[in-house]
Amino acid sequence: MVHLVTSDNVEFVVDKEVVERSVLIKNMLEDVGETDQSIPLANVSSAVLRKVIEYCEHHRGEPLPSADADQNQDETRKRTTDISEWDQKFITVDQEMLFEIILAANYLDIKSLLDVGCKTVANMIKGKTPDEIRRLFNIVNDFTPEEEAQIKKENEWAEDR
Amino acid sequence: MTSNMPIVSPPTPAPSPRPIPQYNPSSEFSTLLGPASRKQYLISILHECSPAELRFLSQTITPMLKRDVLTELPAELALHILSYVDDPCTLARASQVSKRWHDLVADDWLWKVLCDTYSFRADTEDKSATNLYQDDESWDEIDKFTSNSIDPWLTARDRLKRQELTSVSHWGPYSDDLLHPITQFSHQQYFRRAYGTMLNLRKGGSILHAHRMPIPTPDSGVVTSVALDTEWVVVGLANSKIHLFSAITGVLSRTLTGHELGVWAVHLVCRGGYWGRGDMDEDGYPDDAGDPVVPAALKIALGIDRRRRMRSPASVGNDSSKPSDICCTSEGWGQPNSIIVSASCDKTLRVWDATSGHCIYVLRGHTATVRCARVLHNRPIAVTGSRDSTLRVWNIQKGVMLRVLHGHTASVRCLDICGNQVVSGSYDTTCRIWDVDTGECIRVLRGHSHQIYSIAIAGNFVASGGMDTIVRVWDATTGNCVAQLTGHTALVCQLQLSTTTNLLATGGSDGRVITFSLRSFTALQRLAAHDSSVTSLQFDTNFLITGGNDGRVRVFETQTGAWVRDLSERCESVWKVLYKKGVCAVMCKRAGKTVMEIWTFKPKER
Repeated sequence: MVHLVTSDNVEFVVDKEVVERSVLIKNMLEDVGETDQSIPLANVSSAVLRKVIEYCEHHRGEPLPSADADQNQDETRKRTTDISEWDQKFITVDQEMLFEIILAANYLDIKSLLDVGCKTVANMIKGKTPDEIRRLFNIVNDFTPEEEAQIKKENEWAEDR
Repeated sequence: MTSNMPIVSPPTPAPSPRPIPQYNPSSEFSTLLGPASRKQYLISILHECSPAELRFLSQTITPMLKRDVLTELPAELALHILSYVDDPCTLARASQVSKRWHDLVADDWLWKVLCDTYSFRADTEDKSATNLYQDDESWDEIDKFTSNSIDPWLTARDRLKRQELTSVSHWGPYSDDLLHPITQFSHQQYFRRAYGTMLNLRKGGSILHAHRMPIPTPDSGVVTSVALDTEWVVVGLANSKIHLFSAITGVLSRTLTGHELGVWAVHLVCRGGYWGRGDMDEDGYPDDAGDPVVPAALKIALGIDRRRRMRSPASVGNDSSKPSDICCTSEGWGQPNSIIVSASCDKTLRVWDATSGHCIYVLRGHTATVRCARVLHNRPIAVTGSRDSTLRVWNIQKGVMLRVLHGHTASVRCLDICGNQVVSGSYDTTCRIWDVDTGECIRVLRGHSHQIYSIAIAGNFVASGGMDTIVRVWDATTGNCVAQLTGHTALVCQLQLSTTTNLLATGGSDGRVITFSLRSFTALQRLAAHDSSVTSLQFDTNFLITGGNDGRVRVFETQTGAWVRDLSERCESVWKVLYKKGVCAVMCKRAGKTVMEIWTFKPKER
């Protein structure tokens, strides 16, 4: 069992197999060896870590992507945007949590979770107009009307004809 | 999993009381310690609210919980997200959201990913933005830059980018890149062009020029062969003429006359390129034996008397696997003009300067019709096959025959080149693999029971087809037949092999087009493409274009085999169709006339 302490000082005790889906923690454990000392995670809050652990629990035992596979993926560029059903349900959270999960997955180096988070955001954007995207994420349009017209013209080529 | 409540509360000292000018609930709230008491405080407020106030709160809170993820995340994560947006429309719209989003979408890496997703592969030509060789100054510029291997003006980031591109591009870097640094190449621009072209090929395009010529005697107006690069369309006819059109405007540039009988094969050597032999000369003809007797202007055209254009030795290794081009072109050896090679029934091979239209050499040696011809990439070496049952190797820069390849016992019908290996298919029912540089026959591929009409080599695969209707795939190293592919019911006359897509496509006199997987050696798509013989066939990752004796030009999706459209107006017979980078040459017979149409699918620049 591994002891983790979050930024808001909550302690989690988690199976080594589960927590090792995080490459960051896996490397840490390899460096320090067997230890009862808790690992401080200064960048992750308890609410987010709870979600992350839920994800790791579910995917326990699945093969981790090797460095090799990563390269392969880069080569063939088969970037699928599909998300499995369970992951889909798991990632149905508010934007704040989604944002935090992406940051945590990046920090903890859990590539599959990072991808799920990023794909989810990408899927939210897909097919939306600039205005719909602004409303979706509460973004202020900081273009001047001239700039906006110019950029709109620049991008006309991609609109369906 | 267990989770405990805080072990120790953070030792935050309570703030000392200060005079409060007016009631400020938030300061009261901030004095509360621990999440539990803060929660309790909030709940107590909520309980005091009226329904209207609660609705107000809910409306206020919802947008506050929204996060502009792309702006707040570090740039590399934001780009990672955008890299999963695989349609250009959304990406273009995202760039209109805000300044920050606009900057993110402008990152060229995203467009590189999108190019990969759409299988848009930019080659060296696409990457060098401006035209070279327009005058002698630019030529000298190149030489100057060639000696300068590291450009001091490149930033570290640019250099990294360039290294990355070097490893991706199979042409590798050469002096052009130094003159026009790759950093100027924009994947976004390139994607726009390629995407626009793709949409136009699906439903659009226009005829640049249609040339019609009466056919005085039957068969005299037949187009036998076409070569196409981004500048020229070369058309060989059975009436011994060669027409040269601009691939940019579609206008007839010249008619090359000189052959005494019908032309059977044309090949176009693109201008530029580099000397693919490194420090070595082409053997068999010592350099000090004196220059060939040709006018000075044509010497220039051939790149004689000029410093050879080299490229970095590191990337030369890739050359051996560079496959031939389906459009009958080859990369130049550094010569400033495009060079045309034609083979004829008059037993000769002619070498022409495309710019002036002059015939540079008439090469004699074959004792019968020269049926097929190809030039190696980046070397002035042509290989021809003839009814005299030999193949011959020529130095077309010096205008001499280097060697005769003996072995076939009947007419040589087809040949293909990969690196310095030649494969030939003959009416003697065998295929042979030859070493161009030694003239040695490396393998004899036996198995076909009838004449061979089509052959291709790519990577370690050789594919051949002919009268026996069975397509054979051979291991180029061992010479073993690794697969016999059935499905045609008549002569297999068209064939394309691609190791990038791992596909083999074949076309037959039965009108069928079949695509085979080179991994499983099974048929992927069987298309009843034409009512009669398939006369042309060409594919890339996205599209398969075929022409047939039934007078149709058809476009299919390569992966699914789905029919996309018929190109051009129906005619009596399509002799040849070639497509390259948004330009399509259609050679056909319509209303009793020879018709040469040059189409463009390039998007209009806005």
